[in-house]
Amino acid sequence: MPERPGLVPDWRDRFAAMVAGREPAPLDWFGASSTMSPALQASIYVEQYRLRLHDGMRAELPGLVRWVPEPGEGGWDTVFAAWLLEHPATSWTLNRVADGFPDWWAGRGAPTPQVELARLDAAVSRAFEAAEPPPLPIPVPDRVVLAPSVALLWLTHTVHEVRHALLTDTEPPLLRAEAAGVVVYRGAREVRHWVPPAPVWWILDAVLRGEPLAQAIGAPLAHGTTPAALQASLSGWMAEVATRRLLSPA
Amino acid sequence: MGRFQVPDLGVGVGLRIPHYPHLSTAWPAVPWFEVITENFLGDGGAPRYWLDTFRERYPLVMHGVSMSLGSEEDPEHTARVVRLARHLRSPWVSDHLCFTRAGGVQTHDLLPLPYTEDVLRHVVERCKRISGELGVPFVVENPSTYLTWNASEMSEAEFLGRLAEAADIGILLDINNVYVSACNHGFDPRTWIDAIPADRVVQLHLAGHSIREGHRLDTHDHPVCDEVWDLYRHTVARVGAVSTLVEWDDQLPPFPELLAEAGRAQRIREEVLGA
Repeated sequence: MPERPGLVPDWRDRFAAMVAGREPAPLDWFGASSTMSPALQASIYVEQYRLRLHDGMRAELPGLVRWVPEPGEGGWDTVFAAWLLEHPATSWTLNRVADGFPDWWAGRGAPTPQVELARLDAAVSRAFEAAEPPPLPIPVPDRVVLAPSVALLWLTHTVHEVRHALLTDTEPPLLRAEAAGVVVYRGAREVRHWVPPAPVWWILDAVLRGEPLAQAIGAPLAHGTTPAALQASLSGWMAEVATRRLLSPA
Repeated sequence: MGRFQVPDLGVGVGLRIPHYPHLSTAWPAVPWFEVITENFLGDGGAPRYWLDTFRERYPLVMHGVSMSLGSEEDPEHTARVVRLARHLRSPWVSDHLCFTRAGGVQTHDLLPLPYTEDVLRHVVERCKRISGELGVPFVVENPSTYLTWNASEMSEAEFLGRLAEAADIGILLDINNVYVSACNHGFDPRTWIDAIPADRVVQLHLAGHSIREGHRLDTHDHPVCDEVWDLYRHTVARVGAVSTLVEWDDQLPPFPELLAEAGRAQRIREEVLGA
């Protein structure tokens, strides 16, 4: 009677590495059936991983993959395969599978608008399942933070307009080189983006950097806003911030 | 109350996003829904809103895919599952006999285990620990498999039965998975079902699958096939009245069509059980 082969101590790690395409299949570990060779058996898991993870990437980068249908030879599958080889999924949720992709994509020489669109996609994804912010008490405390769903993006091109059109099945406008601070947040159950007056974006940016609200309110002065303009508009701006629930108590 | 404090909820279906508009307006009579645990482990937003909406009208039972019972625990994942189970008051919680992550890679797939004594000891300990944390019955499902390990020392049915006894947990017997694995590996599905301790089975799964070149794939994108309906009849006769769930994930039909599949299961149950 042939001796049953034992398991190597790191069989789990090596099997997972095989599935992720990081190691060749150890075919002598697997038994053949009447219809399936060990190679076919292993390939099913490799292919299922590829399909599932690539679908996850597409779901995380819906704007980018619509805007750039063919990023090069082999399309997005080639790009995603390279990304996943270097950055295999580590979380129980597929919603994290593209974490870090925008910077990686930038490092591979992607044009700036593509990288910005990828960042916008990622911010929307983070906002989708973020926690609800606790109510902001009145009077507003000096120590506040951005609500969990809020992300601030400084964009140099109008990719937010392009993305909105792409995801609502309308003709995308021509991309323009136009810098703007964009706020991604979740209102009720829908994730939205808002291009606020620039001083509002600078106030939120200061809050993000940990400044007390009284100090953050002065941040626009360092970016060209005059004291008179700040005084005239501040209450309206902050009402808009409160309506959109962008801040929560620290 | 059924075995292991798991109630027989009748025949339910999987709760899926494309059906939300219909469900939240028609509020059809459905005995219960099964929800994919990982789809609702986030902190807020639309998933939690819809979960809470449906929770007010229907029993919801959590069915997970990422506990990775065959490898090391992810404490953050476990903590989220426990929190959600308490929030939902899920009457039981299930996951799969498999591993999904190892070596820093989360595969998002139900990877087959070698059925050895060592692996059995590992999975028993994992299940005992999870059961203790959950506070509601923990139930383990047989996955579809496409691969067999030469190192296995026992059959999948023996492994699952011994696991259930040693960890004192329930079994979610997925009849479609038994059939798919039987076709892929050339064993008799009835022999497999008959080898499972009937008194440990607390839930049944039904689903459709796809036929590929040289194998069958558990795709949940077709109606339940005739062979699986026959096995369902056989299984109900053996295990008695336990909750049944019809799974359908891809190529989703309109909800009434899905409900018709559940209705067919209900009729078979009644015929077999004489209810």
